[in-house]
Amino acid sequence: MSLNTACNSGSLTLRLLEASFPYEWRRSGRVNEVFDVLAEDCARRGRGRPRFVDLTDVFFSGLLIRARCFLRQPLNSEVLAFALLGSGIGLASACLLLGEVPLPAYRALVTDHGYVAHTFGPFVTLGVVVYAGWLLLAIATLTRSTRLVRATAGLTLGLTVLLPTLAHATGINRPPLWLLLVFSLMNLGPLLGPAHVVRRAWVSTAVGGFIGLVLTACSGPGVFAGSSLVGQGTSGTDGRFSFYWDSDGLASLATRLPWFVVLTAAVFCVVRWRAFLSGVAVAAVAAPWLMLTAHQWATAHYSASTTSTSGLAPAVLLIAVLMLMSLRNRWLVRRDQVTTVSPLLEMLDVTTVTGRMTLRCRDPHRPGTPSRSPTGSRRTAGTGPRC
Amino acid sequence: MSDEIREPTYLVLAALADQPRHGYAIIGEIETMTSGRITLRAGTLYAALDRLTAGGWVSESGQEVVNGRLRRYYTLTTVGVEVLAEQTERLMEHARQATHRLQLRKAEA
Repeated sequence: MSLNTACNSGSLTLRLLEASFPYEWRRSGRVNEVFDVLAEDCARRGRGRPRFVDLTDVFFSGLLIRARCFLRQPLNSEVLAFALLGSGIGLASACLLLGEVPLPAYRALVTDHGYVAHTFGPFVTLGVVVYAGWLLLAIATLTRSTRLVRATAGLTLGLTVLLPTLAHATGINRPPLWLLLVFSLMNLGPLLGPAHVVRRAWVSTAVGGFIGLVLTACSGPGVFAGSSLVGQGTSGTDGRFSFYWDSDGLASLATRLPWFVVLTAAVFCVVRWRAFLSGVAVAAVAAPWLMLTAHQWATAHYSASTTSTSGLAPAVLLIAVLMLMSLRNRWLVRRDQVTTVSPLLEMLDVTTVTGRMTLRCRDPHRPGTPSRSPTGSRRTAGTGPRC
Repeated sequence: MSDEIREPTYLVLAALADQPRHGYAIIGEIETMTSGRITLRAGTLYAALDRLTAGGWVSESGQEVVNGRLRRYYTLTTVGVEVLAEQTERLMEHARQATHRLQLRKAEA
């Protein structure tokens, strides 16, 4: 095995182990305590490295502890505001892309089949106004201006409340009332939430937006189902897209599996975030869409659907990879918060360097090279390189 | 007070019965108690300690730095002592019953 491969695998293992534990455990250094015990146990038994089964045990125990921490966390106004904002942005982006602007391939097929409806310009329903409001809200959160966020939230709420009246007056399609009701309730988060939450709402925005994008991108064949839900007066059986519901073809398990993997990775990313409850709430709100997508994959087999889905795959993977890369540093314990250096770091060939979140391998030609720990004390980095 | 608890949990409580111990000492104590039959892994131990701490059976009793590494000590709470006593009594009763039946079997033979 090459030097780099060995180092990368060691640091990746460490990152995975650390990431499996909740944030509080990493911040308080309790993860290091677990690593110390593991390292002591290995040393006593004369093992140079922990066994795979030991690492697996630590990983799954970390996940278990994380799950318990999540269940124990009280639902307060801060969490609720984060959840509402993130969910709203995620749901709005999914509705907009799924229901209002069908992808070109689908649009062409819809046109071919002579669908005519009371559309709102290029959009399917008037709901686009509400969704656009939420996207503006997402942009407003990036400014971290409480006043701007609240003003945008108020505007979006007003549009949501007025939408049924507008639709009635103009005769244009509108989203179902239950959806408008959900959006109205979600607006209360940024509108009435604590000011400091609103200022930090960009985290929620990022999580919600990401989930919305992933769901949307994963819902290639579900576009029509989404439209039939969002559009007024259409259904899965007699609506304009019933064509797809009953069409024949092939959507193999091989097509579905990558999406499942990507979604699982996304959920992991979200769950380990500090505002992870927001992500969970987003996932809860988006669950119907997810089920819809799964249903579509199981039933819609039209070749155009398969082609479009395949075309979206690289985009989703790119988003997932970019997300993971942006989270890369967060997967590490902040070095300025570390007070001790776990011997497990040495066992896994990971060396910390002068307070920065940097991982490197020991020089194989200079065994025992001293390195400086984050606390400033010198320590010996071991005698035999395993790279 | 409590339902039947699993063996690892019982052993962690038993290991803390006489004095506060840190993580690795608990593993060692359990190994000694079971004559090496059971070795708790680090992850399993801390998951159990997390659950027991949240349940109020075990609490942190202090910490010290040894060789630059932080060690947290854990001790049984009053509730933990009661649970351990109750579970021990239950196990002893099971053992008594089993022993009695084995003696009967021997007598019949």
